Amino acid sequence: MTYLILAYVVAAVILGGFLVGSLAQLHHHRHE
Amino acid sequence: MRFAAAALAVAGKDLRCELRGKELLPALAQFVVLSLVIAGFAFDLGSGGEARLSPGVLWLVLVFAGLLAFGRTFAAERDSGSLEAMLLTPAGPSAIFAGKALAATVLLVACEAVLLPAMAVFLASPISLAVVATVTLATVGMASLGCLFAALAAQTRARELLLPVLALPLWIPFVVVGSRAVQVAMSGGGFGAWSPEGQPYAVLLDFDILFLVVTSLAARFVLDD
Amino acid sequence: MTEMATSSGEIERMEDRRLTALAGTAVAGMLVAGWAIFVYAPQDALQGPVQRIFYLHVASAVAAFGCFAVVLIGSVAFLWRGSQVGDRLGRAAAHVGLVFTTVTFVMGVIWAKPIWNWDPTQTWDARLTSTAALWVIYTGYLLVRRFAPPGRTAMRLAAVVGVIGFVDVPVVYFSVEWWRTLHPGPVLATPGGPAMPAPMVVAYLVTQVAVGFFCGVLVAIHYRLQARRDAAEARAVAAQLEFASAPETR
Repeated sequence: MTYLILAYVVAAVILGGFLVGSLAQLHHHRHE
Repeated sequence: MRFAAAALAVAGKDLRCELRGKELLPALAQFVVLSLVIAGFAFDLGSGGEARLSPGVLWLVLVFAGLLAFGRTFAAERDSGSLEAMLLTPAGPSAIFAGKALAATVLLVACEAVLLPAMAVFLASPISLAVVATVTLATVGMASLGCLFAALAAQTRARELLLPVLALPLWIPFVVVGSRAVQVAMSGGGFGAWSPEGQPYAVLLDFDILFLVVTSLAARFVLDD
Repeated sequence: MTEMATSSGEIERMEDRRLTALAGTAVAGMLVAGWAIFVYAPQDALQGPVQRIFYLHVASAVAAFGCFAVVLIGSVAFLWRGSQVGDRLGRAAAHVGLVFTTVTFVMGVIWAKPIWNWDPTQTWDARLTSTAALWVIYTGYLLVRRFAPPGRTAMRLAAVVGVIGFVDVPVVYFSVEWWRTLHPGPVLATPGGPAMPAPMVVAYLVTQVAVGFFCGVLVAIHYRLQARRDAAEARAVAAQLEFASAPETR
């Protein structure tokens, strides 16, 4: 049961973190 | 110039260079023997563990010898600029690539001619026809991939990093199938030990054909602009 | 001049808003998938709750393969037609594909521990190795793109890697059948139809759609990001050229 939670938490962190990071980079990289 | 004639000319030139310069083959032979001696000490062989470890040692040494060989194949060309000169000739880049891959295969086979007897001597490995066949089959496919990626990596500024990164993942299928085949061969089973579907030799041959075709097609994009 | 800058800035802000909205939808989709995985799908009789890892693990693997197929298409587009869009698409898809490969790999390893009592130092698995090899190949793709002489050479060489590397994708899929090791055989693509009860198949399909959409949004974001970086670089180069060729004033 713990393995299940661990697996999905890790996956959520990886995918969520990547999404947030990507959006952050996108907003940051704007032509002034 | 016809494809085969051009390829053979390039291969001949490479091999003649090697025979004259005597740089790569002695280095490979030395590497092979040294690796086996070290393996003998590192794995504490001689206590009966050879049978399990021999196939692994074989492929390990082969892979690193291959990286050594292919790293050098295009480095020399790049330094002397003779690659550009060859590309100006009527021989197409595919023929040049085929010639270099052929030469590299011959060099690797020569290296194996040292490796296999050395293993019989140092590790008491039973080298049978099945082992030789497996290794030779695998070498063809590995050589074409190694040659292509060596030509690719030679054009970048991280040559020593990129050649292993590119070649090793695609060599894995050869090592996996070949290792199983050598394992079975070394523990007594020969060609007949496999069921028709599980024949590793057929699988290796399929890989060879697949990658020979793919690398030949890709060669013109790697060598030419 | 200022007006032009403002309008292109506005366009970028609009793009950002649209992509952020899409991202929000993608996250919502993943939450729906989460409901399908944890609530709707029945519990596996054999493995218990840990079996639910299957849904995201497999969906991520499929998404990763899809990304690498996009890398292939982009690479072919560049080699055949000189399409810079293809090169940019390949770069974006490679980044996203690597992330999904990581997720597949990590979830697979975590799943293996309780199920097979798996000790990686003792047992080797074909699919594990092939997936790791895939990860290295596409890292190699990005490295070649970065370390080759910039411009069309880098695009050309990376595209070759993008095409050849894709050969490993079917190897990964078929490795399970060829080498018959610990990894469970295919349960979805079996000849007689899926070897799972219908609600599980439904849960998987819901997850796959959500993950596929999420993946697509990520690729779109990264494509936009690469496009902006390329444009900024082109502007920098152009500015330098202008500066270099400007008449000297004394």
